[in-house]
Formats: sequence, C-alpha cells, structure tokens
Amino acid sequence: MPVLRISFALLILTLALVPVSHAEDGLSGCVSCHTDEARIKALYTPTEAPPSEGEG
Amino acid sequence: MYKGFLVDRNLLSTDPHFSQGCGFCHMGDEKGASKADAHRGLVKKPSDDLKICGRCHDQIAANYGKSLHYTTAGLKHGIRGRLSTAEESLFNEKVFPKSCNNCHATCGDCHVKSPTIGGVNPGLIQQHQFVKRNEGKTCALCHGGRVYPEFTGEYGGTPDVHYQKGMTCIDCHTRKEAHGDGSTVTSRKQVADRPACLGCHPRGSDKSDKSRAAHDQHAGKLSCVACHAAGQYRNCYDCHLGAGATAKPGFILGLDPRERKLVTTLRVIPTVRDTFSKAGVAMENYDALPNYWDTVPHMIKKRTDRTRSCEVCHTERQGFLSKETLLKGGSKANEGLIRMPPQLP
Repeated sequence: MPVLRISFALLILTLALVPVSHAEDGLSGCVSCHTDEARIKALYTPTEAPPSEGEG
Repeated sequence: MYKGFLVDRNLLSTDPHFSQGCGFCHMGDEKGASKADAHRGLVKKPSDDLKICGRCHDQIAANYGKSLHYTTAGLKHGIRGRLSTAEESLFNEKVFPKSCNNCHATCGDCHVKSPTIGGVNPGLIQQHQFVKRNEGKTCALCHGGRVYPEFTGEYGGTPDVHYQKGMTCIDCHTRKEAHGDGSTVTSRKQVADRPACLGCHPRGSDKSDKSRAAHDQHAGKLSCVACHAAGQYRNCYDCHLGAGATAKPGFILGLDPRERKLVTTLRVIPTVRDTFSKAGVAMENYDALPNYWDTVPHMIKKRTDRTRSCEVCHTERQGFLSKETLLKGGSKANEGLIRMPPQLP
C-alpha cells in the first residue's frame, strides 16, 4: 500500500513538472505555427515598404 | 514573402541550436494561444545581444563585437573630421545610434535571417538553418545599393570578372575580415589582411610584355582599379537625415584623398552641408574633408577602355576630376584631389 501511495505521488509530481504542451501535436506554439505553411501564409502580414534607394 | 518565416521542422531534431526551444533565444510566450499572445515579449533578433551567440561561440562573438560590421565605426569615422568637438558629442548622441548604427549587422543577419533593408524583411535565409554563408541573401542586401549590383552586373554593365569566374564575396573578404580579429578599428582601411589585388596577382605575373610594360610604367602612380574598373558605377548625392540620397552613375578619377599619392577611382560621398541640420549638427568643419572618397568599384575587367588606349587618359582625360566637373557648392577640399595625367608628346 505505501508503495502504491509513493508511486501515485511520483506520478502526480511528474505530471506537474512536465510542461504543458500547447499544441495538439505536442509541439510548442512557435513550432506548430512556423512549420505549418498554410498557417504562416494566413498569418503573414506583408510589410509596407517605404520608397527608398539602397545604400552600401 | 511568408515563406521567409517558415521553419524546417527537421532542424528541430538535428540542429543543436534548437535543443533549448525557441524561447531560449526569442523569448515570447511559447504557450500563447494566438499570434499576439505568442509574440508578446518576442525578441526578433536575439543576436543583437552578442552574449546569446557568445554562450557557445565566445571568441567569435567577442571579436565580432569590435568588428566594423557590428560597430559601424567606419561611418562615424567618415564624418568625424567635419565636426567640431561639441558637434561630435551631439552627433554621437543624437545621430549615430539612430541612423548609422541602426545598420549594424548581427550574427543572425548573416547566418539565419536576411537583414531588413528599407523596412522590408525578406525573412529566413533557409528555413532557420544556421548557414555558414549565403552572400546573395545577406551581403547583397546591406551592400545592395552599390557594390553587389556592380559585382553581378545588375546595373547593366558586365559582371565583375571574379563573379564571372564563380567567386562571391567571401572568396576575397574572408571570415576573419567579416568577423573581425578582436582589434578595435575605425575604418576598413585599418583591417588587417584585407583583400588586395596584388595578393592574388603579384607584380611580375604578367602574361605579356605589353601588360608588363603598362604595369611598370604606372606602378606607384595609379591604383589597379583606376584602369581595371570596367565603367560607370553608382554615386550617391545629396543625403539628408531621414530622407536618404539620390543616386546616379558616374566614373571619376582623382587623387586618393587618404594618401594623396595614387590616382584612383573616386566615389561621391552624399554628405552635403545640411545633411544633419535636422539634428542640429551644422558640420562646422565641413570643408576639412572632400566630397569624394577612394573606392574600389566591384566591376573589374582585364580589358577596359583605359587598358586598350593611352589616349583615353593622356589625351582625352576621360573621367578625370577637373575644376569644371567638381561638385557645385561642394567642400573646399575637393580641389586638392584634382590630378591630370601628363599629355602624350
């Protein structure tokens, strides 16, 4: 019985320490968006370029 | 352009740069549910802080912190001689950090994501791969106003012979030059082991008597590019803080303003008397420096008009700076750069 309690406590502790996965596929939010071409295409906002000439 | 923000998923498991997760460098909120939430606190260019890369690449980062690519000290050095002591403090405080130094390159600008130029960010070089070199997506952007398009022939002339042979920037401008060697320099002229024509084409390596005679005759009087720059290159004029400059092609020969010994190709410097007037910097010593600096146009050819015929310089004096062709209202120091070749008997 004590062994079972300790195992249960360890399980809870492990679950508490493991970071919560953001995305359904287990990847971080950054990775799930930035590796998904369709999503990046939808989220991308084109920059309005000011008229200027290059230097250098 | 959206593709510039797409990351190669395979890198996550193969490249140690990703082992600590995105937030290790980029901060932000990896658990954010929306783009706005995830990007809150985001550090777009982590390598702005050299300590980030320096954790592993400590020596390179330390050297790089002193390099011209990072300090942009060359830009300050170029203007310094025109300023009084009081103006220099004002310039360093109000102009340099927001204008010149804004153009400094971070590690990431060359190895991860192309630099933002004119407000446009082309995005990741190769889906967030840490690349060793990709001149077309890195050097070409910051140096895309003059040098790179000259080199590739995009201005309409023929490409530089080195480009035609398959060479790109790093083949001459080595990693050591780009990263710095730890020395503090204020001008590219002070960079040790910077590329020189004679490094690959030493004196005496001529393949013909005619070539040897021409080189012997002009040694110590002309720079290599004075004869071997193929044609017109870009000169920038009339720069004003916040408004930029205008450009037009030209080919100018005159005395090297730094040493005043050799005749070489000169490029107009767009700093005019009121360039920094918006910031209250009047340039009290404006006339101390000329409006032309020596330049190496990156459009080298073995045969040019000047290598084919003595008359082009010695009779027609094509391209040579003269009182008539000096910039109107320019610096009083400009006249000192006039040097006409002797007329042929």
